[in-house]
Amino acid sequence: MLNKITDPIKLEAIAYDLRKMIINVSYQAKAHHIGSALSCIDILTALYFHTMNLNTKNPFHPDRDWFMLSKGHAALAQYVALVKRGFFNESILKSEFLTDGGILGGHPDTSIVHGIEMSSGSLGHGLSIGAGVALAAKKDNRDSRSFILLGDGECNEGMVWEAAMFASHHKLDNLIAIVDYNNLQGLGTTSEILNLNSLSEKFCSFGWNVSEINGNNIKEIIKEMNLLPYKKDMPNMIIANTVKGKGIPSLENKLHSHYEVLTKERYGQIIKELEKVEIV
Amino acid sequence: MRNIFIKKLISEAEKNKNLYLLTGDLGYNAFEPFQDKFPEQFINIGVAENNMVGIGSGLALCGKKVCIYSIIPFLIFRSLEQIRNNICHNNLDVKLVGVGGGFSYGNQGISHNTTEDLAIMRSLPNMLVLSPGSRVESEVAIDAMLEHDGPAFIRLGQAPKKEYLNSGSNYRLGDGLVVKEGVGVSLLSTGNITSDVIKLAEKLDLEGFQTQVISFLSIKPINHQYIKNVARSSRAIFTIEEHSIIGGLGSAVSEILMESEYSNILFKRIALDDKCHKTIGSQEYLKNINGLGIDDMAENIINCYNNGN
Repeated sequence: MLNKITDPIKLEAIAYDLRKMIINVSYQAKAHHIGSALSCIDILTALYFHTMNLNTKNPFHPDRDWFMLSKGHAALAQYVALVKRGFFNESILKSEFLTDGGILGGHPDTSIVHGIEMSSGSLGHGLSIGAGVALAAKKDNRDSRSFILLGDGECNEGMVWEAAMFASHHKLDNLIAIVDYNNLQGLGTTSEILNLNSLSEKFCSFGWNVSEINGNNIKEIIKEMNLLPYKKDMPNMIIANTVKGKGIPSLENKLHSHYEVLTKERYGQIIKELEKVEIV
Repeated sequence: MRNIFIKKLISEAEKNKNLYLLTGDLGYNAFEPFQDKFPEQFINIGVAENNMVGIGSGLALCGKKVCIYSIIPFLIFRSLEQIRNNICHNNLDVKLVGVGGGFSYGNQGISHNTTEDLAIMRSLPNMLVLSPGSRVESEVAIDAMLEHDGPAFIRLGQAPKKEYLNSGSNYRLGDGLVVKEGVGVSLLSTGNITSDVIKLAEKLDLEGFQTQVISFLSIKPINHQYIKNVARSSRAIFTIEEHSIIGGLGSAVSEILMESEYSNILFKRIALDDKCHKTIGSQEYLKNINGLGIDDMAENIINCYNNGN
């Protein structure tokens, strides 16, 4: 397994670079879902560069940690993290993302490039699949852990709660779910559309060990990751409070950051915004 | 057929510790022998079929061979998207083992009866679709399913008391099995209803026909050349299934015939009308009132044969 980065300043610098890649590639490919990618990029930075046991030379190593982006619409965040981590070349991202006949779609797809363990795109599937992966590791006495990134809006899906019950019943302490809680979903805020109320209490009552952190603060994220697993025989839930569009003030907390396709003018403006802002 | 499945699964699990059986809290008085013998390979997911497909997919991603079990509508209709996106799209080694099919749960109503399963499953890429009609056919189908490294759906009904096949050896997946010899009129059948179709053929023979019956335990794959060979040696082909007129065996066969040199052959699909079958009753009763009783089918076939349409 490759070396991990533990210095939060270095990780913050990586997250900054990844944000820039997200903006550049989104502009080039006329992608939307920019806000979704920006809200979870600090979490992905921490997972890919600090927390997960991965091996780019042997991506299918049986003891590797396993990641699934259940909120598949943030695919670009995963793609840029995989590029930076050395799973595939940046030129592939530029030539293949959202292009005719390209191999990198708006939602991640397996087997096409290394590092994407499972396809996603329809919300609600990931926690079940991740629980299956965690269960297989237990059955085989392997050390590998299963990390699943969910959206907050995604928690509207009933299947998430079927999986939540299953994971605690089967004592899957090698399952780590992270909710990118940016408070915005398709047509408004989560409290307006379908109130999750206390998501933390819900998962607690389902038998999970739950923590709540600032999901855009790398120092806080890695501190939390170092505590895993929280408790023997209990699945782990990290509710990561985030800001949709984080890092770009004109996108932050804006519903349109889910949909906006960058014009040349907006692109120029956004790059300036990014360069001005210090991410903490 | 369920008992044949579990027996086969036990003998397979003896050789393969990566074989898993997942159930959506069903299988009372059937799965206990597997559970007792392989407790680590048996998981009752609870009443949560979507999650069951998800867990099965996760296990299969890690190299397990997974059978997931429920009554057909709960198994495949409720979880269709999970099956399509996760199992089929990623070509995972997950077997969807469904009980029921047609009017097997006749008096339990629309929620339990299944008249669209073959159509829907047949349209999914990478999916094997199996519909055995007897004990021997079930054995052949289950062997083929377990041997296959990829997605499969099997429709398990009630095997008829009287077996109509001596052996299924030398069977090639996608071919038909000739279960009654004859010349001229060919009855192509699948699943539950095949034992009725044999009786139907015997009745037709009393009317002067020489009817052959060919059973298709696999709807997908289906061997195009085999169907064309049947057409070459037949004056008329009738497909018979306890399934909607849309999308099942009849559709599969007609698709092949219409694109072949036999597109003018006298051909008719005998199946269930495209409607909600709300009436409850025994399987026999429901077949009878929906044109799948032996007498009605015989009349239908004779009329069609005599009138040429």
